[in-house]
Formats: sequence, C-alpha cells, structure tokens
Amino acid sequence: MAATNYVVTVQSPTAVTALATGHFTSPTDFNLIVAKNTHFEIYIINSEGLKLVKDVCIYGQIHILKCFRLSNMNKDVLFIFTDKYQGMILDCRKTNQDQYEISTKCHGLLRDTGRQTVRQLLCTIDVKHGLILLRIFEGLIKLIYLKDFSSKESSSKSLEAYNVKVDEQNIIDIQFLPGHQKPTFVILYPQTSDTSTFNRDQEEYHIRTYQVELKERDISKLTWKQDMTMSEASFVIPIGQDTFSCIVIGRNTVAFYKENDRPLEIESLLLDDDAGIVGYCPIDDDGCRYLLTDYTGKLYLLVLERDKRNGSSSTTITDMKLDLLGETSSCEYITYLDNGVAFIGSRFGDSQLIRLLPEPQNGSHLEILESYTNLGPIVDMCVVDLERQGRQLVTCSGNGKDSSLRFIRTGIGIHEHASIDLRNIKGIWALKIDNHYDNHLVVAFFDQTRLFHLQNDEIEEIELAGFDFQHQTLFCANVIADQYLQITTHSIRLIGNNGKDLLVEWKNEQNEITVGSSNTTQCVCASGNQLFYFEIGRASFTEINKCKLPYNIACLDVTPLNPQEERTNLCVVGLWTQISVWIYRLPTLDVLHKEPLTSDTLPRSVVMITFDSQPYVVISLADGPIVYYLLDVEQGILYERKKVSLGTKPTTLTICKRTDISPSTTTSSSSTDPSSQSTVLFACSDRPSVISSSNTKLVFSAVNLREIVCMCSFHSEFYGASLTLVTDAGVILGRIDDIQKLHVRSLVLGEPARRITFFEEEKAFVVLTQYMDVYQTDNIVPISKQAHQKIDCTTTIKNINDVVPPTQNDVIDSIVILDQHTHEARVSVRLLNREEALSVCVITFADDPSSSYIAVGTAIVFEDDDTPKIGRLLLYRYKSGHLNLVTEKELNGAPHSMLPFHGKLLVSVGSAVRLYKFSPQNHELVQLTQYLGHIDCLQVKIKDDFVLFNDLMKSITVLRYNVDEGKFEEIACDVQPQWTTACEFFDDDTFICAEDAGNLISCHKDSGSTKENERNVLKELGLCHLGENINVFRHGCLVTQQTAETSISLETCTLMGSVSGYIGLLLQLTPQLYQLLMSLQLALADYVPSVGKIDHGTWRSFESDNHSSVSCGFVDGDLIETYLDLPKTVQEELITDLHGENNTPINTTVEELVKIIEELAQQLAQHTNLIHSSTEFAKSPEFKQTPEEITRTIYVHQREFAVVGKNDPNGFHLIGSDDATTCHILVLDNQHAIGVIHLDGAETNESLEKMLNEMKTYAPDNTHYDTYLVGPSKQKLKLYDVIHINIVLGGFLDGSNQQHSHRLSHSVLNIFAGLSNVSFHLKLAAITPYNDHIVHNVHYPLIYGICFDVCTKSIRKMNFSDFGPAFRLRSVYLSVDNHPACCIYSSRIGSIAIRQFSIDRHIIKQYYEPLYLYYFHNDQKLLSMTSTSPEQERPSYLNQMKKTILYILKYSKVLPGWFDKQTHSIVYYRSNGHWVTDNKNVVEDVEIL
Amino acid sequence: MEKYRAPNRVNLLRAREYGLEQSFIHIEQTRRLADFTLCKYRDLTSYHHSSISTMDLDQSEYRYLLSGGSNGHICCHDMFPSSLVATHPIVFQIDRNTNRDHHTHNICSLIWYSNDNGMFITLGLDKKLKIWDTNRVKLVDDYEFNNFAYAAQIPSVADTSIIAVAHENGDLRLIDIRTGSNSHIIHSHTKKGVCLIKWFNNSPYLLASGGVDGRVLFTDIRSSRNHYMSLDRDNILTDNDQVKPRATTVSSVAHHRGVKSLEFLPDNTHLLTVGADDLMYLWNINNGQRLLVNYGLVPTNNMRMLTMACAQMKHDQTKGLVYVPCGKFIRVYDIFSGQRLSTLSGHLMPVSACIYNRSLVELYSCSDDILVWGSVKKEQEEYEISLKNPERRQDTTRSLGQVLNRDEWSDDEEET
Repeated sequence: MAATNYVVTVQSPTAVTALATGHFTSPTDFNLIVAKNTHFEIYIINSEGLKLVKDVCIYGQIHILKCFRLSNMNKDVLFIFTDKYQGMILDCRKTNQDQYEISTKCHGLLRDTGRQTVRQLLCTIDVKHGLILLRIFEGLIKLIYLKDFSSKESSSKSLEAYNVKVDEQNIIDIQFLPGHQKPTFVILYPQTSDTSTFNRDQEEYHIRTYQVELKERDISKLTWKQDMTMSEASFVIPIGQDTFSCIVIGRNTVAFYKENDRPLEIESLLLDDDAGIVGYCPIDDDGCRYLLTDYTGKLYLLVLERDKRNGSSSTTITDMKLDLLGETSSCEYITYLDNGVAFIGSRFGDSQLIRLLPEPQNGSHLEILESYTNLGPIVDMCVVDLERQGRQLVTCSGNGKDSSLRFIRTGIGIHEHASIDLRNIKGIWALKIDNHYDNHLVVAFFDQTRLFHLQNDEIEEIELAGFDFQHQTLFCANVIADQYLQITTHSIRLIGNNGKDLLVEWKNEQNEITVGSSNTTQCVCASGNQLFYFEIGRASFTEINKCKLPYNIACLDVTPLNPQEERTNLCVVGLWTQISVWIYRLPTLDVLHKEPLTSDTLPRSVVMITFDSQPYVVISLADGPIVYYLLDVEQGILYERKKVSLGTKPTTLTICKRTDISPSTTTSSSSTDPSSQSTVLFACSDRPSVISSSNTKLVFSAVNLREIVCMCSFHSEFYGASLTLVTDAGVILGRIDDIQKLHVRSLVLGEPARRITFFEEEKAFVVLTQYMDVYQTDNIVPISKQAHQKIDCTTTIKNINDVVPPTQNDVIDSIVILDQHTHEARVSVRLLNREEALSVCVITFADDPSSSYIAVGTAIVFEDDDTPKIGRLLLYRYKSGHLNLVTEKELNGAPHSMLPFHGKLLVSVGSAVRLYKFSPQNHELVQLTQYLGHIDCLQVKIKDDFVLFNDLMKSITVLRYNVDEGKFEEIACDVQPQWTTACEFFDDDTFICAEDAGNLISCHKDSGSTKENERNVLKELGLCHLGENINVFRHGCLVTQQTAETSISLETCTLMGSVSGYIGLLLQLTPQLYQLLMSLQLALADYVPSVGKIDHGTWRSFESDNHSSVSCGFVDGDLIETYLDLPKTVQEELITDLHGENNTPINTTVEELVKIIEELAQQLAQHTNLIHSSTEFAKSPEFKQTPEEITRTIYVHQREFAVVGKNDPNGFHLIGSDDATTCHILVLDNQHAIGVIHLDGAETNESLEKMLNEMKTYAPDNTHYDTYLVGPSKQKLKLYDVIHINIVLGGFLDGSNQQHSHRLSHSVLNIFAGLSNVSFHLKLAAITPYNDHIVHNVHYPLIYGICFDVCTKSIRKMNFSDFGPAFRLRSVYLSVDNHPACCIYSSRIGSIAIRQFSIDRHIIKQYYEPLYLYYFHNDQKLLSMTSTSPEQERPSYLNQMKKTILYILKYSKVLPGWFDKQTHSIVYYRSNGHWVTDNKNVVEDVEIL
Repeated sequence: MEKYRAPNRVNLLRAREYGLEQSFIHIEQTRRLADFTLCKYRDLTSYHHSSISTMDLDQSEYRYLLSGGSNGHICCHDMFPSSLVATHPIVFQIDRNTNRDHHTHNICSLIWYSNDNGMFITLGLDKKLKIWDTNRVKLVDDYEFNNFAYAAQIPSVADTSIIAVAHENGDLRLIDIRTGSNSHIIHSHTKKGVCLIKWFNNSPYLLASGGVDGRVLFTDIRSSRNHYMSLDRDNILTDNDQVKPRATTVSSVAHHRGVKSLEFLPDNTHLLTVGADDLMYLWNINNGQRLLVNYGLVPTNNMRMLTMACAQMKHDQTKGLVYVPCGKFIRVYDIFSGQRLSTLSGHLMPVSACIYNRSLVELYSCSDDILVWGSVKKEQEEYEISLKNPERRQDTTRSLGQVLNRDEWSDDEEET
C-alpha cells in the first residue's frame, strides 16, 4: 500500500508568473496571455473586457513567456521556457474540433551543465533577425536562430541553441537594441571584480553592448558602455531605433543613458527610499510612456519628453517625468492592453484589470475593472466543518497589504433578497402577467392554489378571475399569445386577458388529473394511466390525441430540447409499478422507446434538457438518486445510463436559465452554440444541487441549503434574475452563486497571516499576523488594529526583557482572534518588539480537561543572529470573548510548530521536539521530555503514539512516545538528505513529505521487518515532481458530493497548499486500482498530446539539487482525468493494451474505467464523511444515562436482538448493547423501527435474517436500511472493504460490482452483500482503525457499547449498568448453546420472552465444573479460558463470568422447570415502569461467595 | 567570515513560505559550510592500516566513499545516515584477503563513474588500471602499462567513456573503456613527468594536466596540438589597460616546482592549483590569466599529491571555499579574497585528501584515518549535555541556555 498514491489538482495555480500580449489566436484577435506556474490562460481582449478562451496546461513551470512575430509571419507565436530547461515555440490555429488548437512548432531541451543564474532567467527576442537570446547559466548566453522558422509548417522541429561565452557574471538584464544592422544587445550587470574584496553595499553597475555575428555564431564587444551608481538596478529598457540609448531602472532611480551624451536622471519626490520599482511596461509603441509599479503596489507613469526638432529618425530625450497614478495589488508583471486598460499580474494578491483615468477620481487615476482571485502564496490553512454547509478550507493567502484569509468551499451559496413565510407548499410557478418580467407567483398547496403579485419588494395576495383557486395546481405557465395555462387536479384552464377571463376549460370526467406539463404551444397531462395530448392556440385548446398505458403515469415532460423552439415532437413519461420511462412521438403518441429504470422506487420527476448540444433525459427517483441518459432525438432512444445519488428524499427537477442562477457567469468558450449553454437543471431535494454541463460532462454542484421542496426561476424587474426556492420554512427569493468548482470568499487582512487554527469551542479563528509599516495603505486598516479588544503582551522573563529593544521597530506581530461567522476581529494581542509569532494551536490539557487553551510559540528574531536564541511559549485562556494570559515559558530556540498530543503540548523548538505538560496548580508549563533532532524541526505531525517531524535538511523522522517511560523513542528516519518543507501522516506506516524543489516523497516504514537496520530506515518508495512548492499538508477533503456506486477507497485524503496558490489532493489507492490507473497513465501519456512535446515522465521525474530519479508511486490524476474527455473509440483503443506489473495484461472496460475516474474526479465525499463520522464517533465522550432514561432502555445482550418501533407501547426509545470486544453491534434503521443486534460470529446468517424478518413487520415495503456498525478493532478488515460492501449494498442491482464481493472477508458484511432486494446505507462504521487505540502496543477498541435513540436517531457511546430482566438467565442461554440470535424485545409484542432451553449435562461436566474447580480463583487463567480477546475485556467481565458459571452449576437441573408449560417460555412484561414476571420460580441472579 | 553569514533562519523560512527565496538551500548550505567542526560521534568502521592516499565520493547519490591506501587496499563506506551519532559500515573492501584482483601498490586514483555508481576505476602504482563492477565487486577490465601512472580521471559529463591517465614520462594516455583502446597517447609534458590530470567540468574534450616541471597545460583531445594553453604565473589579470596580456610561451610555467593539486571550481571558469613551491594560484580558464589572490604560503610538506575540496555557493558565486590539506591540518580559504577563514585540526598524520559532500554539506578528509567534518557544533553540545544529564525530568529551574553557558566546550584548537 505504501507507494500507491493519487495526486490531483483541486485548484490550479493562481499566482501570475509571466505575462505576454500579442495577436496569438488569430491575426485579428488581440490576446492577453497569463502564465500561472504550470498553465497559461489565453484571453481575447475586446470592448467588453477580457474573455478567457483557453487554458493550456504545460508539463513544466513556466519561467519565460514571450509573444513575438517574425517578419515572414502574419500572426504572433509564443515562446515558452520551463524550469526543466524545456523550450518551445507554440502556435494557435482555429480548427474544426477545437476552436483554438495549440500546436508545437519547435521544442527542445536547452539544458547545460553549469551553474544556473541566481537571478531570474532572462530572455530577449530580436524579431528582425530572428534571434532568441536566453540567459540561463552563468558565463553563457544561448542563442536560438529562427532564420528558417516559419509558422506555416505543420511538423514540429527541434529547437537548437548555440552557446556563446560572456565574461560578465551575475547579469541583471539583457535587451536587444532594435533597429541595428546586426543584432545588438545591451547587458546590465553589477560591479564585479574577481580579486577585490566584496562589499555588499557597493552599488555600481555597468552596461555593455554586444553585437551578434550571425555567421560566426559569436558575439563581439561594441564600444558603447556606461558605468552608473544606483541602488539595485533591475531593468534596462532600450529607447529609440538604431541608437545606443536606454533607460535603466533601479530601486528608486530612473536614468536615461545615451551614447556620447550626458546621462539624464529623474528627480522626483515620488522616488524616495521606500519606493522599489519591480515592474514596468510600455504604453505606446514609440516608447514614450511607461507604466512602472513598485512593490507596495503603487503605479507610476513615466513620460519621456522628446525633442521634436530632429524629426522622428533620431530622437533625443530632453526630460523625463514621473507621476503617481494610484494603487493596485502589488505586482511584478504589468502589461498595457488598449484604451487605457492595463492588466496587473500579481503573485501576492489578486490580479486586476485596471483602467487609467485621465482625470483623478477620489485622488486616484485608476479604476479597477475586475479582479482575478489569487490564493497564493498559501502559507497555512485549516479545514473547518460548518454546520449544514459542508467543509470549508481557510487559507492564509497573499503577502504584504494584499494578504487575506480565503474561505474556500465547494457548493453554491444563497444570497437572499426576500422571504415569504408560507408552509406546506407543493409547487410554485412564476407568471408574467401584463409585464415583460415575472411578477406573479402561483403557489400550490394540498387542496388549494394561491396567487401572489410582486411589485418591487412588496408582495400581496391577489385573486384573478381566470384562475382556479379551489384545487391544487399541478402546472402553470405562460403560453403563446399572452395566455396562461393552469393545470389543476380538477381541470386544465386556458386563461387570457391578463388573467381575468377563462377562455377554455378541459375536464376529465372520470378521474382527477394527476400530472401535467406543457410548453408554450403543447400540453400533456395524465389522469391515472391515461395520457392526453393537447395543442394550444389563440383561445383554443384542442385535444389532439390520447392513449392508455398499462400503469399509472408518475411524471412527464414536453420541454422543447432547443430552448429557441416552441414545439417538440417528443414526450417523455415515467411509469408506476413497471418502473420505466417511455418516449412518445407527438402528436401521434407512438411509443418510440421503453427504458426500464432498474430501480424499485418510482420515478418522481423527468425532464428533457440539452447540455452542450447533447440532449439528455434526466429522471429523479423517489429515494433520491438521479438517473440520466443521452437521448437520440430522431429515434427517441435512450442510451448510456448513468446514476448519481443526490439526496435521500424525492427529488424534483426544474429547468431554469443559467442567467437566472448566476448572471455574472461568463459563458464558457468551449461551446459553439451559446444557446445550448443557457439552461441548467435544478434538483430540489434534501441535498439540492444544480446540474450543469462542463466539457460534455454533467457537473453536480451542491447548493448550500438544507432542503428545497420546489423552486422556479423568477426574473423580476426589481431584483433582476433570481430564484424562488421553497423550503420547509418558507419561500426564499434570492440569487445563488456562480456555478463553479470552488467558491472562494476573501477577507482582506491588510497584513500577512502566517498561521491559522480553529477554536472549535469558541467558534473562532486564531490567526498570527505580522504588520510592517510598508504595508500601510489609505484604504485598508490591518486586522490587528480593527480588533474590539487590544492587548499588549509583556513578559516577566528576564532574559527576554534584557534583549528586546524598548523602541518599536517597524514590524509588529500580533495574535488575532476572529469570529467564525462575522469574521470580525474580537481580540488582538500585540507581541513584543522583535518578537515573531511562529506557531499556534488550541489545546486541552489532560491535567485540566475542563478548559481549552490557545498556545502560541514565539521567537525573538534579530537579523544578525544565525537562528533565534530565545523565544517563549504563551498560553492563553479564551472564554466568552475574554483572553487571559495564563503562563509563559522561556525557550532557547524557535518554536516552529506545535500540536496537542496526549493532552500535552508537543512543540518543535529549534532542533528538538519537546513535550510540555500543564500544571494547573502552579499555572506553568513543565517540560516532560525532549528528543534532540538534527538541525531544525520544521513541522510536527501526530498519529496515535507516533510523532512525525521533518527536518530542515535531513528529511523526516518518526518517533514514538513511550507513555510508560515518558520518553520519545526514534522509530525510523529517512537517511536521504532532503530539504523538506512539510510532512504528513498517510497511515501508520506511510508518510509523505514535500521538498524544496517542488517534489513529493512518500516514505514507508517496514515495521514488520526482522532486520533492525531495515526497521529503522524509511524507504523512499514514492517520488514525484509536482512543480509546486508545498507549504502545508492538511488531512481532509473539500468535496461534498456523494455517490451511491463507487469503488474508491478514501482512508487518507490529504489537501496540500502551495506557494503558487495551488491546492492539491492526495489519496492512497488500493494496489489493484493503482496498477490499473498507472498503466492507464502510461497509455495516456503516450496518447495525449503534450504542449511543447514535453514527455510526461520527464516532467514528473523527481529532481532536486543533487538527486534525480524517475517518478514512481504517484498517479497523476490530472492526466487520468483527461481520459474522460477522449472520444469513445480512443478510450477503447487505449485500454486494449494495458499491462500491469510483469506485463500481466489488465482487463477492464471503458465504462468501468470512466466510472472509477469520474468518482475519483468529483465524488469522494461520502466516504470521507463516513470515515470522519466514524473517527469522530469513536472519540466522542461516553454517554451517561439518567435513571429516567434507564427505564426507557432496552439492553441487547450477546446473540440477541431487539426491535423498537417508533411509538413503543411501553415508551422505550433507547436501545443499545455493549461489550463489543470481538463482536459486532449492528443497528438497522428502516425509518419505522430500529433494530439492534449483537453478533458474536455464531449463526450470523440466521440471526440477521430473523431480525430483518421482525423489522419487516413494521414496514413491509421498505427495503432501505440505514446501517450503523460498531465492531472490533483488531480484525484485518479495511474500511474500504466496508465501503465496497456498501457499494454492493447500495448498488445491489449493478452486476459490475459483483466482482468486489468475493474478496470481502468478514462474514457480517458478506451476509449483507448476499441479501437481495434489500438496500443498506452505511452511515457509520466504527470498526478497525476507526475504533482502535493503542496503549502499550495492545490494541483496544475505543467503543465498547452504543446506545441508539429511536426518536432523535442519534447514536452515542455508552456502557450499560442495567441490563434488563433475567440477565443472568440470558447469559446462561448464550453460554450453553449455539443458537441463532433470539429476539429479546419487539415493540410489536411489548414483552420479553425467554424461550425454553435446557443445559446439556455434558457441557457442565466437561466445561463448567472443571472451570469452577480449577480456575475460578485464578483470574488470569479464567479470562484466557473464556474470552476470545482477554486483553480487551473490561474489568467487569470476570465478575459476570463467575456469576454465570455459578448460576449454571447451581440451577442447571431445576432450570427447565421454570418455563411455562404452555408457552415454553418465561415472560416478562412491563408494569409500573418495571419488568415483572408471573413466574415465581425464576432466580434472577447469584452472588459470588 | 562575515561574508558567510546568512540571514536569520526564521526570516529565511518565512521568505521561502511566501515564495520569495529561490536560493534557500544554498544559503543554508553557506551557513553550514562556514562553521565546520569535527563530528566526534561519527566513526567510519576502521579498515586501513596504512596511510590513505586518495578518496572519491560517488556523484549520483553522494553516499558511497571510496578510499585507497598506500598498501593498495580499497574500501568503500556508506556515509548515510548523517545523523549526529553514527558508525558508517564498510560496504565492500578490496584487498588480498577478499579479492584476487586487488592492487598491490599504493592507490593513486579512485574514480567513480560519473553517471551512476555501478562502476568505479582504480589506478595503482603497480602500473595497473582496473575497472570494477560495484554491485558484484568484481573486476571487469584492466589495463597494464609499461611505466608508472600517477593519476587518472574520467569526465564528469554524461555519456563519456574516456579515461585520461597521467604517466611518469610526461605522456597523457587516453583509454576508451567502451572500445578498450588504450593506445592514444599525447606527449605533452617533459620527461620529468606529469602527475595530475583533471577534465574540465563541463566538457568531455578538454583536460588540464599538471606536471612535475611546474607546467599546467590545457589540452583539447580533438585537436592535433599537444596543448592549446599553458598557464603562466606572470600572465596576470589586472584592471590596468597598460599591461598587455602575455602570450604564453614554451617557457611559461604555472609553478616554479611541481604541481601538487589541480581543482576546477564549480563555476566552470576558474581553476585552483597548488605547487610544490607552497603557493596556491587561482586562474581564469577561459583566458589563462592568473587572478591576483594571495593565499599566503601553503605548506604542502612531502605529500606527492593533494586533493582539495571546493565548495561554491550557487546563489552567489563570490562565496567559495576551498579546503586545502596542509600537513596535519586542513585550511579553509575564501577563494576570491584569499582570506584564511579557519583551520580544521583533528588528524594526527598529514592529510592527503579532502572531499566535500554537497548533498549532506559535510567534508571528509583522510590521513591514516578518515574524519568527517560538519556543522554540528550546537547539536554536539546539546548531545553532550544530554549525555551528562540523563533526562532531567522535573528539573526546570535551569534553562538549557544556562547549562550551555556553564559548559565550555570548544573545538577551536589553534594550529601551532
């Protein structure tokens, strides 16, 4: 299992790493190309703004992106250079299949041995001579000749480069000077002298000019050179044609140099010491105006004033002017587009589209037109569970003034405009009555209909004469000629004259109308099993045809497939009893197709809809899932069935316009016909979702509302496009978010947040921030200064007071507590001068379990120190808005990270990992033990007793905390030197770490090995290049979709956040799945064309400073997902030749693969929820019953079961069992009754069958069971097996899942799988690792017993004290006989009956008598003789066992006589809240003497 | 030393998290390089009974250290794990007891194959060059010469198979191990002999050789000329335009006495040489000019050959260190200023070779034993404290800092 990981992108990089503009997509289009680390986006610039037309992934990190056009070409091409030294020239062509196809014109590996430059890679292009100049390695310049390059050729050529030596070291910038006869370039480099001593402050720079001898492939020095003094020269901009003149930009200098001329330096107050120019771009082609940006985000305009006298040929710059335009995100990349609009590409904040205003508005010459979200750099993040709203990921993003917290979640949020308090609504429709906008709502109730009129934000109920208000409306719509159609249970009414007149009414005399639907010209309705078809005209409503079906009609639809059309020739009908959908041809009502739904629940709602020009038929089933087919419009045939589980309640499907849902959605480029994009499907259920299409795949986006009964789109004049959503609490009029994968909300902080943690109890985030004076802006107040309560943190530690300077410096670190909901800063704590906050955690100490604390680690940082020498731990108590410092503790190093561990505080301090306990008496932290590591322990992670940490340079180490001795023991470490950045546990034996050069390493611990040196060494089994610098790993998963049929195991979902804003997901695959996907990856890597012809294997191969290796152990999920987009024939072709290890062929089908990948792609959440709920449950506190509750409890003993119905005659509502050491406690819930069975492995099959039979008496038709399973911890079963079972259970009709059942090991689950026509929905599986807890190397279950509440359906951990009547007798019965589980109680009967049994004499002789004789007083022996898991038994076990033995020996002979002669049983019944029996003979219990 | 100070690590880590520091590794390496100290608790399983004449570290994993003794014995140590306390095991050994193909005389050169560590080459004073399969520790090929060879090397560029061998009579022999041809001989040095040979770092065709006559010659093996450049100690790089670059002549010598060490810097533009005249020179290899760096006298004693180790920082090429064996000590010079930064002392016999491990950032040196040097001062102190005070559990009155101040541990014994 070790090296079988799947890595997939959740959010692709968002930080801009390069920009270019040009006519790339066509000679007429003007494009903006934005590179974001591993992909680039192509925008078309038009009058409306930027339109994203293509997003292209590159197998590499883009370092250089340049758009250029040679003289022989009619459009621009793109030059890209990546981090692994791959160069390429790309072209874009419009083709039939893909509107914008990217083709590779040239590609090549431009690697050299040598030392790469420290500075940014440089590239300049001379289009006149067709020459690309690259500066990659010190001492060399690479020249690429493009003489024979033309964009016409279709085949890709290799890119060849020639190396030319240059003497200048440490070159800062190189630019070609345009217009010269021979290619001429200028070099800017700093003062270097090999011999003199170095002085860092020296600020001397030189420019030199060179000329390229094209034939000789060499360069020669030209005479013009210039020396200058400035601070941090960073750019050289050539000015003019055919001259030797340029501008050099320094940190706060702009200077102009010209051959034989005096240098001209700008003098402006704007360029003070704080300014630092980091980016520039020209505005005009003639190079007179430039935009400059500094690192705080200020935007300047540089204007060169020219002397016009000399004409245009040789210009002289007479003056330069600099103006401040305004402030943007801090950025290094800026490009001027057109018409005063510029694009700001930022690494640390949102990228922006800005307009330059000629006149200032509010003191700024800028107007921000649009912002583009950037998550990078993600420095820290935490996963938070929100009530009802699923998971949320909170990241600390950005730097400087652009810092923010980003709240990321999947699912769609609601913006509420208004709400109406109406309940019990059955249906809702919007009407346009005498208006172009929707202004009326028709609301259907069970036996009436009401009409509401909306005027602006006022709602009033009105009655219009034409409408029928006495019956429930089934359908209502605007139809042609400004008429209205109302279908009620009673009749169909065509209404005209703005609702005042009833024009036509149609009634079915025999029967009520059950369902109806229409479009603007056609109407269908059903009455029982009769189907009617009508056509609507002006004041006419004509029955055209009717027919009779074998069964009643459940739902139907006549929506035209093309939204522009008014008619359709297809009608789709869903049937009762013979559960199927039929397609009818209109108007003839010929049956075209009958499609059985292979479901035992009826279809609830059916629609025809076109997504991406592909017609679909979507059917919702009454128990939640959605089935959809592709529809052949001509033949009326359904094909390619797919099933997705959405909710558990009946789902209603409603078509609405995409614009109604999200007006701002920019239409996706991939579709050729914009109309096909305009509709989406809204599924109303207990898990409301929006179904839309993306790249011909249906995407299900959850809406963050608990339950929606029905909805309609409502385009009102006042609110604009919006929706009415009917919930059980009323009607909401509102708008929902854009449909997109992730939703990011941002909270601007104004200062960087370095660490974040969530304080569950107080519903607050604790954030560590750092404010610097340079972040100061006019419009943002840093979050630490916004706090309601501001505290200064002082210290009593003498050593710290001695070193901390009294005067404030410009860096202030704070601890800020933010409210979870309002995001307001409640409290901020200002730390000492020079004190930096490095780590934070929320902790509850074992010695003081009553309260939670916030622990913060800080260090006093001086720039001249090597590492911090002093720091402290701060412990705060935060309760109801008040923060108090409890204690502080001096440290001798930097606390890089901390975590709660066994109720103690685990801190990595410098090179040590230390454990502190809190002593509540003295209010101090006491160091218990420490482990001395290597250099600097950066991150610690914990799992059970294990501690994992990554070292600055020496990879990862695993420790174990020996509880007995209170010491850390080193278990294993990775011997490879890896410069790690982050680490995380996968499972007990597998660990993952990220490395400085953007690689992932997964390590495996071979704990089973017999050789000591193998056990102590972690094997690096998985190596992979990610191209992302990972800062943080967090366990968790964002996806909230769920599915019924899945085959993916998800024990370890790990999210990772990187510098570029990338969020990735890692999970472990089963070896089988890994093999399958890995072989598919190999096939795909060959087939899928790579942009730039970079080999996929090369891209993913591990490469660090001194180590390189082929990629292994990681499946590239992004590549695998491309399989879904391939045409079917190719999909088939690819899988015909899959080979696993040792060349064993792998057989699979396209459908199966597609299913697996789709699940991997989007639908993982159910299991993570399952895992999450199971682990959470296992860790939950034990439940203590009140005496009142004890009387309401049924206790189920071993091999017994009980069923409690909803309204128990005796008032029992709690049911439970305990002592599940090796047994299973299984709770089944069929909505009418709860059954609890305690299975011990004997006669499991019969027992389960008996219980199911009993449960069926409560709800004969219900075959759907919610299942809760609590089991032992030790067994070999893995959770994914259980999930497989669940799949089999859920999808018991699906034949393809049969293959999974054979490898199921456990009998209980096997029986589940074997039961036909019953479906189980696993809600909790507290078994194996999720019910395990290791103490002294012995596994203990976390849960011994549970208690289920029938009313609230809540399950709780519990140990019982009262076991109900005749407990001893029941124990005896259990001990002496291998019978199937007996029903101890059922609400149907209301009494407890113990069936007659007798005890075999032989057993007593052979077993109990010796037991009593020899072992009764030897507890250890007795335990081992009687229990299957002696170590795990609880202390009470022995006592019970002894009593049972005594009871058997004492009463075995008289026992048969106790039973009633007629009923052969002893019956207990309920009297005055107690169990009583009429049988006087029965002895309840014995006492041990 | 000031030059090798790095920013505070906390600040550096913060910069890395925000993506502002691309040279993180190199800066941290600098920090470590500057304060090497003897790793007292790391032992190599002892093997050699005679003095060790040469060592080589494999360049693919930076893990296996070959060492060859003056009695012809060869041994390979695994240098992982690099924890504070470790005993490095012997991976294999070649001597008369274990391998019948062993060398019988002093080992002159040990060379790992540059692409992978599946092969290595040994040259002994028994006039034999042997090629070994690492995994089986078996001889795969050997060449016997008529006269003594003092040095051999294989280019570090990938896909090369040519070994250059320096002979006592001044000949350079080229052996192509792919074809087995060993007849290509370049008569470049005088009869006094050539004792050192080094390939250029980035070219499989260019090599530098140092002779007993004090000459350092650059040869292009593709060209018919014996050499294309001869280093001249009077050809000095200056900023003064008046001084014309001196054309190299037949009489030009790099050192007045024999060359004892040649080392190319990682930046591919500089070469360091040490001569028997106790001088160390820095050269620009592109134009053959000597840079005016004064290292002072570098006493080389009677060692025939020295192996220096150069460490140069990727993020800042001006930061370069060279570790020069000087008798029983290893001197650390800043390459471009000539400043002597420190002296590492620990050997009891004259040191013959230093090897820098770029991956683990540590130095190996050998005389009659092999020592490991690393930046472990603080860790060792902490470890020693923990040895002295076995687990003070509840004792929190004294901070570790106070304990540190009380104990006066120092490794800086001045050279006498």
